[in-house]
Amino acid sequence: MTPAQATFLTSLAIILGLVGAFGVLVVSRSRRAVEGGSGSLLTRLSRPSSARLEVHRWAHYAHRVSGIGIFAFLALHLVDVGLVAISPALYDEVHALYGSPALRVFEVGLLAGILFHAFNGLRLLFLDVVDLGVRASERLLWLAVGLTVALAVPAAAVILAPVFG
Amino acid sequence: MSARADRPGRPGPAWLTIRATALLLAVLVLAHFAVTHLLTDVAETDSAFLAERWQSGIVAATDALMLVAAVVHGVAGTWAIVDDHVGSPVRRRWIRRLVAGAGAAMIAVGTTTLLVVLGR
Repeated sequence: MTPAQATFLTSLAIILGLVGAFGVLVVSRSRRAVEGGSGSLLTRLSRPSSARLEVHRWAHYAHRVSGIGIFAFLALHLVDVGLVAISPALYDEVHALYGSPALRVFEVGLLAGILFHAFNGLRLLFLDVVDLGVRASERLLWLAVGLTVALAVPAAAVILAPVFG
Repeated sequence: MSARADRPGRPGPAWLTIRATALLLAVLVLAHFAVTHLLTDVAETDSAFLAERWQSGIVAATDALMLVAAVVHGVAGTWAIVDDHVGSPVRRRWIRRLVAGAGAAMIAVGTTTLLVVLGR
């Protein structure tokens, strides 16, 4: 591994760590903010459907964590593409990592994050224009999640295909 | 967002910015990912691929638009998060400036890259 590649991988690891830490921060704060205070994540998620706002709360957190993650990756991505301005050979050296099995798995995760953020974002945009109730907007949320899975799974097969020969 | 909370019912500029760029990015970013990971294998998107891609003025202009929209959207989104999580107005102002500065640097890096490759 070259120094440039090691720098790229270290930066990516730091970004993933920061995004994970941000997710933990958001979740732990919500634990305090949620009425009733205590109760595990699973307990709160398995609340009866009358507690619909709980689902929307989690959609809101997922939107923020995915957004921060995509933005942090964009910062790194601009630097790694920027290497081509310094030297195409240096760019190729770092870029070769994108084809590695580990980075391909990361790319699938990145795509899932982008898809969820895009579809949930369009849902939020739609809710700003059309004043749907809580139930209808929850149905749209599951549609966004469904579209994310429906597109991410076949895309994952394409992205990961070279790993399996 | 504080600007919105001050005047309920009236969208502030940050609120509008996030939504306008969101529509653009929902198309541009997904198309970008499809081109660089699905239509082309990521291993083949080397420096030769980049040079050839940016030969087209439309592609270069689209990438520049996507860069600016993504950074503006990211900065405005991060500002909204900072407004919610940072209580002190002084700290909030400094973090907002820091995020805006990072965004400006990102746009500078991206456009410089594009211009250097186009000038070759």
